[in-house]
Amino acid sequence: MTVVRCENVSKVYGNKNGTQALTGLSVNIKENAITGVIGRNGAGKTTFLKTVAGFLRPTQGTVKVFAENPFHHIKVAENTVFIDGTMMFPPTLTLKDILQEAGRFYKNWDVQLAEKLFSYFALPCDKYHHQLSKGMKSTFHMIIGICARSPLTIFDEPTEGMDSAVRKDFYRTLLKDYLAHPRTILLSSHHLNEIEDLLEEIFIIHQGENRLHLPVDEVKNYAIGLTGEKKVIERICKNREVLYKREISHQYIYVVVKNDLSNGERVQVEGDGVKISAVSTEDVFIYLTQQKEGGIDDVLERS
Amino acid sequence: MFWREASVLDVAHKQFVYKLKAYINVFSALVGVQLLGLLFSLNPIGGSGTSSGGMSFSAQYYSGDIIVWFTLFWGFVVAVTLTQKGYRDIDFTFVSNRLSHHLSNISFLLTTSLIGGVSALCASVLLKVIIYFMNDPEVTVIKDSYALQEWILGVLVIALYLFLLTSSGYFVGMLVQLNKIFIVILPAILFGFLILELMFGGAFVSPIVQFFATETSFLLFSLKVLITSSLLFVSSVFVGRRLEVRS
Repeated sequence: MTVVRCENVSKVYGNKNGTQALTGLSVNIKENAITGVIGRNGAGKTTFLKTVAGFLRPTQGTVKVFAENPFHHIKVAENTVFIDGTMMFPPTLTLKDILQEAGRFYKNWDVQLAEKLFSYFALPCDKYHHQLSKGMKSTFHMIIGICARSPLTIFDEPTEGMDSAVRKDFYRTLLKDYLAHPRTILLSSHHLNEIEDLLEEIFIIHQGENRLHLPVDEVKNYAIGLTGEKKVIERICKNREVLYKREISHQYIYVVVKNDLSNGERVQVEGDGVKISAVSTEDVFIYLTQQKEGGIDDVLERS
Repeated sequence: MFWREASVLDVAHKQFVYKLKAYINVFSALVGVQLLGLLFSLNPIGGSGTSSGGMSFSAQYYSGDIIVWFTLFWGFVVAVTLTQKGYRDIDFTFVSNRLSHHLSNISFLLTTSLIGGVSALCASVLLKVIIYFMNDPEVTVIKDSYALQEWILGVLVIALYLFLLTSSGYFVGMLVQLNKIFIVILPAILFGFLILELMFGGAFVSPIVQFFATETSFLLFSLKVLITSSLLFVSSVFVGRRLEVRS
C-alpha cells in the first residue's frame, strides 16, 4: 500500500517570484518501510516533508497521505509525527511535563520506552527545553518521534548537533523499535553512509525534483566505476551517460557510468585492461546531484 | 498500527488542557497588570467635605475602573499573542489541525475572560480594603452597595467585555499573520476614524461604543457581545484558512 502519493507537486514560497522549492515532484512512498530522503542543501527535502505532514500547501499538484489531502487534515495530523530541530515547546513546561503531554496526544505513545530513553540519554527532568544544548534538543525530539509510534513518522535532519555515539544509539533505537512496531518512516539526513544500513528505500531529491527513488540494494548497484586508458574508456562511454569523470594522469581516466553492462560486455571491457570497481551509495548520491561535470577539482584547478 | 477515526473536538480539548498548563504565565501577567491598576486606583478621583458644629466629614470617591481598563488591555494583548507564529507552532508540534487550533484558542480566551472578570472584581474589593486601612479605620466608613447578585452581574459584564476584546485582538492578530502590512493599516484606520470622530462630532466611533455601553438589559448586552465575538472569531478562522505552519 502507498501511504504518501505526490503527483507533479510544485511549491513556490511567497508570491509568484518567490523561491521555487519543489518543481513537479512525483513520488510514492511505500507503507511500513524506512525511506531515506536525501538531497543537497536547499534541494527541497524539508519542503517536501512539511508538505507531506500537511504544514505547507503545495502551489500545484496533488499530495495524498493516507488517501487524504494532508493540508490541515485532522486524520493525517493524528497519524503523523514530524520531528525536526525547530520544534517549539512552551517555556513554562519541564521536559518531563512535555513528555507527559505528548503522551496524551499520541494514542500509541509508549510511556515506558520514553522514560527509559530519557534516563539512558541522561536528559535532565526538571530542565526546560530552551535550556538544552543543540544536541540534547535533538535527542529529546528524537525520543518523542520514536515513542509516538505514529503510523507516519517523519524525521527531518534528526541528528543535528548529536555526537556520533548518540547518533549511533539513535539509529539502533529507531531500527529496533521499527522492527517491533513497523510503520512508515521518512528520514532525511546529510549522512547517507550512516543511515544506509537502516534504509529500505532511497529517495533522492535534486533541485525540487525526484532524481532517484529505488530500494537501497538497487542504489548500491546503480553505478560502476571504470578505470583505464582514455581511448578505451571513451569508446565504452560513447552511448552512455557519464555520471562522473576524473583524469588520473594524461593517459588514464576514471569514470562512473550507470551499471547497465551485460556480462559479455563486462568480460570484453576487462579484456581491454579496464578495472571495474563498485561505487558506494554516497558517491552515487553525490554524482547524481552534481551541478556540473568535474566537481570541486575543476574549480580548484582553474584558480 | 491501526487506522483511527480522529475527531477535531477531541484534539481541541486536549490542546485546551495543554494550554491551561503551558500558558500559566498569562495569568501571572494578569496579576501584575491588576496590581498596577490597583496602584493607580489609590488616588481618589474626587471628593467633597463639610464641617458644622465641630464635626467635619469628607467624602472621597475612588474608582476601580482603571483595574478593568488594564484587564481589558491585557485580554487584547493575550489574544494577539496567541495568533503569533511561535504560539501557533507550539500547537503544531503535537497533533493539531487549523480548526482544533482555533477552537482550543477560543476556549482558552473564554476561560481567560472569565478568570479576568472574577479577578478584576476581586481586585476592586481589595482596593476597598486597602483604602479602608490607608485611612484611619476608626473614623472611616466604606459605602458598599454590592449585593451578591450585583457581584455576579459585575463579573459577567467584565468577562463579556473581555471576551469582546479578546475576539477583536484575535482577529487583528490573524490579519497581521496574513499580511504584515496590517501592522501599518490597522493603526492608520483607527487613528483615521478618531480624527474623523473629532471633526464630525462623534459620528463614527461613538455609535459602536454606545451599541454596547448604553445597553441596559443584561440579556441583550450578552447577546450583542456574543454575536459580535462569534463573528470576529469566524472571520479569524476564515482569514487564517490558508496559513501555513512550522514554515
